[in-house]
Amino acid sequence: MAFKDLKVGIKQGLGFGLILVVMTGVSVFAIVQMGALRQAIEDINQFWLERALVSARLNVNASALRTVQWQHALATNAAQRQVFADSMQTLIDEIYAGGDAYDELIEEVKAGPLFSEEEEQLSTDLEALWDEYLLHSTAFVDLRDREAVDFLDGAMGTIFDAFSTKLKRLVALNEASVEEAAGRAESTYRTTRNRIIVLLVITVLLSVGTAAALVRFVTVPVRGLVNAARKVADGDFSVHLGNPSRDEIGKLARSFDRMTQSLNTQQKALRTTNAELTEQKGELEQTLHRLRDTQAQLVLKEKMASLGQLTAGIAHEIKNPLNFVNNFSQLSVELADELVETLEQHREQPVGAVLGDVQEILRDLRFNAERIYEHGRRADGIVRGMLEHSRSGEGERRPTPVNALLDEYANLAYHGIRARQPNFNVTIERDYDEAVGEVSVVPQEMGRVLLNLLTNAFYAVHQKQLSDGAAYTPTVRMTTRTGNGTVQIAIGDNGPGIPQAVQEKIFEPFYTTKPTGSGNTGLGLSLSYEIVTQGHSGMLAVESEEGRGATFVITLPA
Amino acid sequence: MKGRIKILVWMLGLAAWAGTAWAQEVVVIAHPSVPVDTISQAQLLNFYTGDVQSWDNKMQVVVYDLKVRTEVRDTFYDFLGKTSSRMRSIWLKRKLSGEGDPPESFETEEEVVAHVARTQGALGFVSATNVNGAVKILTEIPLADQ
Repeated sequence: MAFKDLKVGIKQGLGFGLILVVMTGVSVFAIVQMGALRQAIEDINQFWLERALVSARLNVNASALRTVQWQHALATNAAQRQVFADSMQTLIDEIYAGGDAYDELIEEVKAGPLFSEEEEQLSTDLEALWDEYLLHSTAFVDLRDREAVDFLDGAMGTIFDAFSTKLKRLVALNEASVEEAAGRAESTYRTTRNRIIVLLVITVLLSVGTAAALVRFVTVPVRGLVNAARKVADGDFSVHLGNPSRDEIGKLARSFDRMTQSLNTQQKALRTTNAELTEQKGELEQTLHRLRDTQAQLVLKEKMASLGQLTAGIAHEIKNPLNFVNNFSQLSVELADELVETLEQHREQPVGAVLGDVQEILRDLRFNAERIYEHGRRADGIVRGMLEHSRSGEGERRPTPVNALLDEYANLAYHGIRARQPNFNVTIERDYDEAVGEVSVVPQEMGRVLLNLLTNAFYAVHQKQLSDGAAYTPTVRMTTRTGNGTVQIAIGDNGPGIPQAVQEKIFEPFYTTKPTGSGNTGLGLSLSYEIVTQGHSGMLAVESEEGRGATFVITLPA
Repeated sequence: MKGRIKILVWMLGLAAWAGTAWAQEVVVIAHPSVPVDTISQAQLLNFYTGDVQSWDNKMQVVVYDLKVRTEVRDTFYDFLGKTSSRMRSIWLKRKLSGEGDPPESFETEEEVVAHVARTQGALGFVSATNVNGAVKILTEIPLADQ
C-alpha cells in the first residue's frame, strides 16, 4: 500500500514517529558518546595525568639528588657536607614518596589496559637501578674530593644515566599516554559533534520532509476539497478532483466527485427537461389559446342554439296577438269602409235615419280597437318581459318565483320545438309545491338550465313517439318541492331513458348522443351543471332507468 | 603438541620444586651466644633498620647482608616488608645523618655463615642448605612462591 493511501492518523503517526525515533537515536548516541568522552577524560585525570606528573617529579628529584651529590663531593668542609647530606635525605624521602605514589597508581591499573608491558619493565628496571644507585651512594658518602668526584662521575654516573634514561622514557610514555588519551577524547568529541550535527541535519530534513508529506498528502487535498466545494457552492458542477488517495480525504474526494457528477447530470437533465417544458408550455399555451377561442366559439354557438329555441318560442308568443291585431285591424278597415258607404247612401237623409247603423258599426269598431289594443298590449307585455329577462342586471341574483319560471320556460321550450316539429305533441304534468315561492337565482342563467332540461325531455319523448307510434303518450312531468332548507326542481320524462355508461359522461363537455350536424354542441348539460353547482352552490343529478325515462333533479339552497 | 610441552614443563617444574622445597628455605641464623632461640619479623626489622642495636642482655647486635640481590636476599627483605632499595635508602639516611653504617655485606652465603659463627651477637640470613652447626637458627622463611 502506498504512503498516500494510508489513513491520515497513521500518516501523522508515522511522520512524527520517525522524527521521534531519530531524535531518540540522536539523544542515545549523544549520551553514549558522552560516556566515552567522560571515560577518556577520566582516564586522563585519574591515571595518565597523575602518573605523568609523579614520574616527572621523580625525574626532577633524581636530577636534584645528583646535583646535591656533586655539591657534596665538592664540599670543602664537614659543615657544608652536612648541609648537602641533609638535602640528600630530604630528596631521598621525596623520591620515595613519589615512588610510593607511583606504585599506588599503577597498582590500580596493573590488570587493565592502562598499564603496558613496557611500563612494567621500566618500573622493574628503575627499581633495580635505584637499588644499585643507593648502594653506591652509601659508599659515596665516605669518599672525599678526587675520589668522590671520580666515583660519582664513573660508576655512579653510569648507573644514574641508565636510571635517568629509563625514568625519562617512563615520563615520555606517560606523557604520550596523556596525549593519546587527550587525542582520543578530542577525536571522540569531534566524531560525536560531527555525527550529532549530521543526525540533527537528518532530523531537520526528516521533519521538513514529514511536514511536506503531511502538507502534500493532507493539507493540499483538503484545500482542493475546499476550493471544489466553493466552486460547487457557486454553481459550477464541472469540478473533478481526479485520482485521489485511498485515505479518508481520498474517500471524501471520491464521494465529492460522485456528488458533483450526479449534480452535473441532474442539472443537465433538469435543463433539458426545463427546455422541453418551456417548449411544451409554449405549445400548451397556444393550444389553450386555441381551445379558449374554440370554447368561446362553442359557447357562442350554444348560446345561439338556445337563442334559436327562444326565438322560436318568442316568435310564436308574439305571432298570436299579432294575428289578432292584424285580423281586427282588417275587420276595422272593412267596418270603416262600410261606415263610409252607409253615410254616402243616406247623404240626403237626416242623421237620425242612419244613426242606428252608424252606432252599430262604431260599436264594432270600438270592439275591434279594444281587441287590437288588448293584443297589442299582450305582445308588448311579451316583448317587455323578454327585455326584462335579457336586460335586467346580467349575472345578478334576485328573488325569482320558481314555479312561474318553470312554466315560462316550459312554454318557450315547447314552442321552440314545435317551431321545428309542427306535429310534436306532449302531455305536460305539473306537480308544484306552492310553498317553494321565490328563490334567489340569476333568472336568465337558471332559465337556460330549465330550457336545456325541458328541450332534452321533449326531444327524448319525441324520439320515443317517433319509434313507438300512437300507443305511446309522451309525457313530461315538472315537480317542485321544498324542505330541509332546499328547493328541488325535477323534470322527468317517459322517454327511452339513459344507459348507465352514458349517465357517467353526461355532464362532460362536448358529450352528446344527438346526431351530428343537428346544431348540437354537447355543451348544454355541462353548462347547466356548471351554472347549478358553481353559479348557485346547488346540485344537478340524473336518475334514469333504461326504457322507462329519465328525471333530472336540481337542488338549490332555499 | 603444544599441550604436551605444557604438561612436560609443568611436571618438570613440580619435580624441581619437590626436590628443593626445604633446601630453598631461607633461614635466619645467629651466633649461638644470642639470648633468644627464636625471633619475630618485627624484631628482625628493628635490628636490620638499626632502630634497635642491642639484645635484651645489652649484647651488641651485628647484622650481615648479602651484597648481591639474590632470591634469598629478596625473600628475606620481603619477609621484613621492605624492598631492597627501601632498606638501602634507610641505611643511606642513617649514614648521612651519622647514626651508623649499613650492615656489612658479603658476596657469598658461606662468608655470611662464617662471620655469624665467629661474631658475638651476630645475625644473618642464608638458604637452609648453607647452614652448619656453628650457628643457631632463629626462624625459617619459606621461599616466595614463584
